Amino acid sequence: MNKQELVENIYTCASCGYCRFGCPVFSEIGFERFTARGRMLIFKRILEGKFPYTEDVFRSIYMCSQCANCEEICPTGINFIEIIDALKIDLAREGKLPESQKAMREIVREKSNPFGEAREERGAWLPKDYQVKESEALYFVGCAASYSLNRTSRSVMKILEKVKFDFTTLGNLEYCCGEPLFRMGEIGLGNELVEKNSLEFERLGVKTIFASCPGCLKNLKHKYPPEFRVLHTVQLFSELIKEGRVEFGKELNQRVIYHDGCDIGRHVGIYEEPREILQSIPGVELLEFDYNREEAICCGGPLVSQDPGIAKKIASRRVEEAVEKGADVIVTTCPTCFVNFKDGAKLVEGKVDIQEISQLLLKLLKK
Amino acid sequence: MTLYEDISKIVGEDRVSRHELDLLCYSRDLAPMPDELLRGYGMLRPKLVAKPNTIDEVKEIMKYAYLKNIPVTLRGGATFGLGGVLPMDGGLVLDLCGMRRILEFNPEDEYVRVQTGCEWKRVIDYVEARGYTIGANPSSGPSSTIGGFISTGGSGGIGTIRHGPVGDQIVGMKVVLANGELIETDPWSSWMFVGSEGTLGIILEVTLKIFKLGKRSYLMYGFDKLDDAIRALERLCELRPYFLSLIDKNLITLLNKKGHHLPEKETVFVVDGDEAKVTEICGKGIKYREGLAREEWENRYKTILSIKGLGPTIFPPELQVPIKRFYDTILDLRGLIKNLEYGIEAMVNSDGMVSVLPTILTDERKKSEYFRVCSLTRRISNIAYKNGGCVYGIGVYNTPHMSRIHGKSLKVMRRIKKGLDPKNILNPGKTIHYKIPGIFMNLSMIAMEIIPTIMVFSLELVNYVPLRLLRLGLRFVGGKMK
Repeated sequence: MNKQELVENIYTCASCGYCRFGCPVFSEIGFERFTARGRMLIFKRILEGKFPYTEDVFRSIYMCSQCANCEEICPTGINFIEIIDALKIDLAREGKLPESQKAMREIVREKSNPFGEAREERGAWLPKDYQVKESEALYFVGCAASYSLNRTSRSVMKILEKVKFDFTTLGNLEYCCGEPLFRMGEIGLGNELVEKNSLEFERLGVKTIFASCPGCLKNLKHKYPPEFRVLHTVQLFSELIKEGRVEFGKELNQRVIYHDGCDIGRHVGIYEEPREILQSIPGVELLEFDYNREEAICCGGPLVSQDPGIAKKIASRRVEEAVEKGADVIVTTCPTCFVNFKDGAKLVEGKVDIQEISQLLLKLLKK
Repeated sequence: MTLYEDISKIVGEDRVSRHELDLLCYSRDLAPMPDELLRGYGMLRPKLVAKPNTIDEVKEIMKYAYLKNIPVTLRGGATFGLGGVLPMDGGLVLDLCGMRRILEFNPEDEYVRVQTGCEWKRVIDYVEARGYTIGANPSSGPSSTIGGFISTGGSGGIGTIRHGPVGDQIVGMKVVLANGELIETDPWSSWMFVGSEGTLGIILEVTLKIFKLGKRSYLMYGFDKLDDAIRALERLCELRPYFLSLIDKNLITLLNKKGHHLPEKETVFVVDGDEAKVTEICGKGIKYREGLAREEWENRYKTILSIKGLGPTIFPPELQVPIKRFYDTILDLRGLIKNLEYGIEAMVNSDGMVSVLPTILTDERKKSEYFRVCSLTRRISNIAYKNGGCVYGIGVYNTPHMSRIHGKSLKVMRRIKKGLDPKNILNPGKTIHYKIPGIFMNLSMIAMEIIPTIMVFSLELVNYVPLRLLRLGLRFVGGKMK
């Protein structure tokens, strides 16, 4: 977004406040400076020279989960996310990142993952004799499923082995996709990772990449060279189920509610495949949140690095609704939602299980 | 103890803010009023914003404010645009949007009980998912709150033609008065608070009637001639559909620039009317396919605002006129604003009144042009009066029209205000407790209108003269400028 577009977007804001309706931050913190319309008003004052561009404003910019709910409901069609991205790029260029972001940037730069884990351990979840090979299909594992949440990656691996789907991973050669860096505005560093990964993709002759992490998926789709076909694992699973290659061995006699993550939903537009998978499971009763698909409310996960307390509270609202609806399980496709829901559920009285879709699927397959 | 500490004790520290950025945001509503003008109107900086979550918290806050004479300004979605939520006397802003729970849904007795900080869209989505619908509701449903719409009169909007103004659907309310006392109202006594713009009490809980939702028809007709469209509209009134509106050709042209796909005609829109009768009445028009009409309905909250980027500022006055004079009103409006880019939408309400919403495109960055467009308020109001109608709502900017809107009730209203809020701490500077006498506001508007016309390089004067006049007005009632 160039300067002119930025200015026009800011002046286009009608201050109607629709953006507050599904805003996770507004619902918890509740003050206008953390809403899209509040930011637009503040930016307008800054443009007119009536207000200084201070650290308080930076904090407002970063206290946004970039879930894009505001964009969805905005009647004037403002690209809030692009505005926030553009401003973050400027801040990063000028070295004005908040401390929490600076710390994360250094970790990603050094270790190529946001958790500070050792780079040589990235493929530790793979079988000992695993060999990276040339293949047209590549499973991009991502940082979360390589380290702390490797039950997801192991599940994906086992499901695909079962249906004899041929693919490779990058093992220890995989780098972070760059999403945390792009999100904080460090696009130069982000692009370095894009290049490093792309080189590996080309070396292995990869044509299709599938990711189990929606954050990686969004980044692979929007920031990587367009010659790679990018899918989420749910799209692959849904195709395999339709082809009759997946056989269930168990019934899941439970009420399941699917949470549309923001990256896989509003940012990439995948809404139906996860539902198709869940509906194909014998015994499942599929419930819906009041606001689902394009209108789904963010779990607050991306705010963990800014304010874990708020992130947890936001998640608890969604969990609360699932409990009220009588759901036994909340199913998500996203590691960020998964972890944050687990934390949020601790604040809620009722009981509901949180499941990541690949792990759930593996448990139900015919042995 | 400071105000901050005292209020924090009541609601908790995380629900008060004196942050500079918040104080800026909470000194504005939807209207992009130039800062100079707001200062001219005598608005002061609020000291604190608080977000209570319970009725008890509001009671405590009001007891405290009453004791210490602290002005309290109420705020919902801030979408009315007449300055009703601006902290004219500074003090404390109560943001009621944290109280947005749906408390009870009772299909047997056909009501829903809600906290008033809840947005209309949330309530409508909730009851419609359960086979019911709501009566009167605003076209800014995703942000307009239950309390806000009730407080601003709720007589123009969706559903009013069938169900009447929002006051007709109130079964009961819980209201906290200026001294912190909690009262409950019945349908009759609720009416006193409808349209009181937050000056008499704080409406915190409302029980609203709900209605069974049947299968709705969505019908849209295009007419070549405005008078044919309006004649059809008059007859359609008698069918009392759920929604009935006119979108004028100019607005269609603007909407199509923003991705709508409507034929450029004077368009009549009917939701949930008897299809055979509607077809007969709209004989002179062309019927559009139902899918198109349905799409427009689903986008109803977005329609008008979707053209905003073309301005990028819009100036949206609202007037209500009797349907018999609707045609003349449109002709008068078109005559007045013919040299500007504009579109007109009109919704038919109950009792044969029509809400007319001209939307004029302008650019707030071009100051003299923008001031001149703002000054049109005066002439547009005159069009309303000439045609037997009035402007809608008062807030700050329409205080010159108080006596015309309320007539003889004005005296009664003053007495009621005195009885319920003797210290005048609730929403001061609005409606009957204006800060600037109407005549000075009118004079300042005339200045805004004339100066750019007679002088080309008059930016300084445009700023100076109207403000000078407002300042005089402020002095007149003894207000202080800051």
